[in-house]
Amino acid sequence: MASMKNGAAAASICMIAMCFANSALAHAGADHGGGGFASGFTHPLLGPDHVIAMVAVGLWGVFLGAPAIWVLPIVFPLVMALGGAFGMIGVPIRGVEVGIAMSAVILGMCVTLALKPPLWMAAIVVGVFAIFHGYAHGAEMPIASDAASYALGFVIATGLLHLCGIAFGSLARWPVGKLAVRAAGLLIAVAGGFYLSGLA
Amino acid sequence: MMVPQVAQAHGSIEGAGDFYGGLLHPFLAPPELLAIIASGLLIGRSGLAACRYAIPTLACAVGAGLVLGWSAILAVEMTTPLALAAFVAAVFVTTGLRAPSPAAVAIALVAGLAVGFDAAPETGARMSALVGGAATVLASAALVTITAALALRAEKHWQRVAAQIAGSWITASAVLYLAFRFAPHR
Repeated sequence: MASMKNGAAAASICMIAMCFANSALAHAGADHGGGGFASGFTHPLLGPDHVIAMVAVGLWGVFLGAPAIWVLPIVFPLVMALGGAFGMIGVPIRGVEVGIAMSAVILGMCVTLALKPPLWMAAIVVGVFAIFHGYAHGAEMPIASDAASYALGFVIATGLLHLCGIAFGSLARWPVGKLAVRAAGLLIAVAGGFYLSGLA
Repeated sequence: MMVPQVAQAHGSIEGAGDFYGGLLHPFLAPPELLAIIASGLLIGRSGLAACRYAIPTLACAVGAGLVLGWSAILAVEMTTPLALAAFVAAVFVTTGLRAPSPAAVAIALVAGLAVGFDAAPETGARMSALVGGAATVLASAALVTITAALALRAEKHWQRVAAQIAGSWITASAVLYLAFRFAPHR
């Protein structure tokens, strides 16, 4: 039990550190100084709107409980990859940045309100937002890049953000932890609101 | 100084030498790493019988691929075949389905050949190529065996889920690469 608490605390610190590690740029643009694993890995981390939404998916998965808590980390990367493919191919999808900001707002509110819809509904909500996030990553992939390494890098980074969210969300088993998790959801929703309004 | 060796700039990985360069190659080339890990997960999840045939098949196929690649006149880009092999194997793992042993062996064969061809030493010296190639076979066999063993022993629910998540990540990476590869130029 003590080791689980320590693990959850460490993961929470890691998540918080990642949230505030870099300057607040929604997207750093297409040029990340070339491709490769490092470039792909840092791409989701350099966009705070990506970070908070991915963490929110993990947090919400904890509230939804089994089987959502493990279905979401399995399904989300796949749907995100589909979105990424759309971005690379150039499928016209409008309002990607709005969709990304909305994902933070809605997922944050779901966590704040501890909503527990049916699994299929949660999957649709998360899936739609996964398309937007994947699209942004795919469209911004450097042209002259090691594509396989870049793809692996940003899939892993996204997955780790989910796991950070799940780890932090595991604090919800305690009353104080539950408050902390719901407060985090509120912060995420507010941050999403700032991005949506253009203030960030 | 009394017994000078041939002054080669570097092996397949700069500064690593022939043996360590070959040993590290599957770990430092993401497409190869993905193909081997995906194959290992698939083989392990398919059961002990699949492990008995597929692991040696992959190791032998890596060797055959190395020979073919080293002796080939033209260099062939193997990232796409590697991504396809990884994708097919990872889809099985992600869905939790057990592949029949022949299917696991077939995927191991394709993945092994692709890895071997991709990792073929660029040196013209036979001894250097032999040392590097042997190291690559060793590393590939070790990696697939360890991965398959972990997947085979995944009896608890969370362990099976972890394997599925790994499969999901590999599938997603492969899909993204293939989309990038075949997308019209931007």
